[in-house]
Amino acid sequence: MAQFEKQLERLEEISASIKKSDISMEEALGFFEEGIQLAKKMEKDLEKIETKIQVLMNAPVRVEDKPELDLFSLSAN
Amino acid sequence: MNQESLSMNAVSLNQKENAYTVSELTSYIKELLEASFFQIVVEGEISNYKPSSTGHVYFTLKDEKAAISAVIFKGKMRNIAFSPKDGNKVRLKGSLSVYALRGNYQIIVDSMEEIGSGNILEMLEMRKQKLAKEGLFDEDRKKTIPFFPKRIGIVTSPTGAALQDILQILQRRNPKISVVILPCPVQGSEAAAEIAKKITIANTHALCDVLIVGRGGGSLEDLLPFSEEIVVRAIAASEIPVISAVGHEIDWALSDFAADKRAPTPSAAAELASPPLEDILELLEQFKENFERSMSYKLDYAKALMRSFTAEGLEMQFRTIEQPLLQRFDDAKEDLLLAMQYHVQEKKQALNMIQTQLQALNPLSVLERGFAIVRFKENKKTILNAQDLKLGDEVEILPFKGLAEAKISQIQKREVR
Repeated sequence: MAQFEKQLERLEEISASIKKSDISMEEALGFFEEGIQLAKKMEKDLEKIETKIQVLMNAPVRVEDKPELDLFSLSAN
Repeated sequence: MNQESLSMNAVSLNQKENAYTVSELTSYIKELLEASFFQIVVEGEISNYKPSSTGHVYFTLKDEKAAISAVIFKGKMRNIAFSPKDGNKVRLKGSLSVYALRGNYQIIVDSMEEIGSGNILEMLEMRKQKLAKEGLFDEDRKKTIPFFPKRIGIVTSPTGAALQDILQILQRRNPKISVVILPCPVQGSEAAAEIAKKITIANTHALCDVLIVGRGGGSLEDLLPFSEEIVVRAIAASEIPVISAVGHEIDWALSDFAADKRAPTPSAAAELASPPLEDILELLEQFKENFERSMSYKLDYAKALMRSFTAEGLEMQFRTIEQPLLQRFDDAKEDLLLAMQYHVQEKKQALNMIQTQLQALNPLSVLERGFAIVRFKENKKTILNAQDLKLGDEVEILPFKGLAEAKISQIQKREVR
């Protein structure tokens, strides 16, 4: 989730910027809105993630074959 | 000597007419075996190695065709300079013992040493140096393990304990991470090629954001596939960051050196790859609070600045300018008044004094004190000296009030002081 890490970095930048004393109120408000929205979006994104545990099924498999993934459960083994 | 005693016992058994009891038979066997196989040296592979709670260790020593039970009693463990594991090839010294109650036999181990692995270690060291020279283990090749992978690929045995451990830990720490299992054998002759192929497949089809390549504990030989060149090269070539997780903490494989990160165990690899979801949510919460605090601080500051420009504030500011001027004005007024009053007072006093003086000069005021004016009736001239009078002169006497007339009947001289 490279996107998520970039967003975290952005949050850090915003946090540092908004604390500066020499930025204008408009800039501060801009940072504030961006920061709050980004944090909320990230929380929502996290909520929306649906996870799967899959297993590669192709056998025998060649590197160039399109991977066939199937749901994996421990009990099945 | 064994041959001799064996035939002697055989004779005595044959000569006996009645059947043996189990105890008798076992007793003979015990005598026979324990005497014959006292302080012997045996070579084989350890399997089913089981330390017990009492401190004794039980295992099976085997080769391709046979197996024999063995035990190392607690006190003898100190004679063993390595940590025995399943798969270890060993040479041990011990004595055969028959356990009559169960009718089985085992070797009681006195001492034991590892054989063969010396060669393996030497071979691994040479391979390691060769691959290191190629730069496959260079630090600057190492990629950063993503903080929050969306999908983790696991190259391992689908039935191994390692996979279960990894899945359990991922589920517990961060259920928002998906998993792709790339199943492969993790020991035996085909393992290395399969492991390498699965790493390549994961890369070719971008199946995940981070790869865990590993297996649970095993003997040095069991872990060998992870030290094979083909695996090391596949890991070094992987675009996807790789965490190598082979065996227990003390175990290692060349894959550890090529990987971007070495985890001591598969469980540890799962932890390295997965930030706890709770921590992330907490972090986001902190950011939000942070933003709100910074912003409200800024707003308070701005409000404080603006407060001085409200009607009230402006009035206050004007007051601060006006106040000292008013004060000066008041003071000046006060001074002026005081000065005037002083002046007037002074004049009044002067006037009073003059009045008093005048009062004293007013003849009426003298009359008031009981004096009287005497004057000629004729010409109204005041008589200052009795000598100016003659007997019989008519005079007027003017006391404070009224007027009287009189005739001079006597004149005398009187000295004036």
